[in-house]
Amino acid sequence: MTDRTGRQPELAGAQRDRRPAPADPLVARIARSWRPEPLDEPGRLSFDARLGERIGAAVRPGVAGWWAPVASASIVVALGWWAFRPSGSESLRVVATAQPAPVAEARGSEASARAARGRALRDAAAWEWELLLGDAADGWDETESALPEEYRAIAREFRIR
Amino acid sequence: MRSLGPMGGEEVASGVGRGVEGAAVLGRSDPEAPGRSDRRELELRFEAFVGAHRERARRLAWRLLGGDTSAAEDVAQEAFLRAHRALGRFREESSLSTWFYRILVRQAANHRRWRGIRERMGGLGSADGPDEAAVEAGDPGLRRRIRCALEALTRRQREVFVLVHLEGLTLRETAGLIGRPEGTVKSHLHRALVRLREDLSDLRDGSDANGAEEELP
Repeated sequence: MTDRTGRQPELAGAQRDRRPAPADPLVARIARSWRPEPLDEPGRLSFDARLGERIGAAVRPGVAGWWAPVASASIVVALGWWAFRPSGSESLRVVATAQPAPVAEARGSEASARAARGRALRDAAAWEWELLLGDAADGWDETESALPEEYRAIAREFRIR
Repeated sequence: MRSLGPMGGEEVASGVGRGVEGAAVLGRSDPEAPGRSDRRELELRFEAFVGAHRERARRLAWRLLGGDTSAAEDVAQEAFLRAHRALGRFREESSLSTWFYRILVRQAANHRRWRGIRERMGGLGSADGPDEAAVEAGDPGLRRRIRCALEALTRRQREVFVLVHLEGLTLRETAGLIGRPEGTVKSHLHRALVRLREDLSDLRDGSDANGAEEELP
């Protein structure tokens, strides 16, 4: 249950003294209106820890063995590909949902989901590469402290300012 | 024992967030190589954590990504995946929820950055752009105006506004989450509010553009 600003009352009460001044009507208005619709398929955004490992195992060889040399040779080519490729994140979602669940749930038909999975794994590898570059560009090593130097170098070169 | 994390979700991983109990769960004596049973226990607890925080993660991502439903789902899922992969490296210096939401906020920022690159290089609207159908739900005009006003803020202004005023974090929690001093958070928050008040001044009287009050779901 939330209060009119969308906060959980018990939490708000416990920490009221440390919060900024009470929200004005505009803020309350934004809080009420600026929220997503409930998931129409509650199970869609599911997570399976073991699935995470499987995806990771599938993705890493792609990054190390395929994308890294391509990007090292010509980051421009890689970035160009990024600009025009279909959404990698969308593809990753296909992998994540098609693997453990009935594939029809994710993509409408089992056959199309199976066909999409190969492409999805390839794109997922690319998506992972993209995220690594993004993190390295920020010098963020919270979860990727072992980021290879070659990623960091490329990220430094093409840092988004 | 269950406890509330800073993000208001349940820290299902009892003690994982803070303290000695959490240290034992995470195998602090040998954090780089937790035993198999510890690892399995941690994974089970992480799954429970995901269940407790899934909706909130999706909502925060949605708010940070300009109301893009599919991108929010992707970013939330990616954040969970990345957190799971890095679970062995999690330290109890922050709560599990703070640690996870730091990853989520970063993922959202990455997503926005790369979406911008694709738009600039592609010269066309991105496939990752806001999901108009979802954005238009509710009061379309009001949501569109809010989205535009939030998009006009800087990244940091938008993040602190969403985290403090929409997600209910304290200034200190927000500072820890985005890795900036509390004073900087206050400054961003002040500028965000000034700008939003300018852009949405007519909404301050409590009525929307169509004169109808939007109800909470």
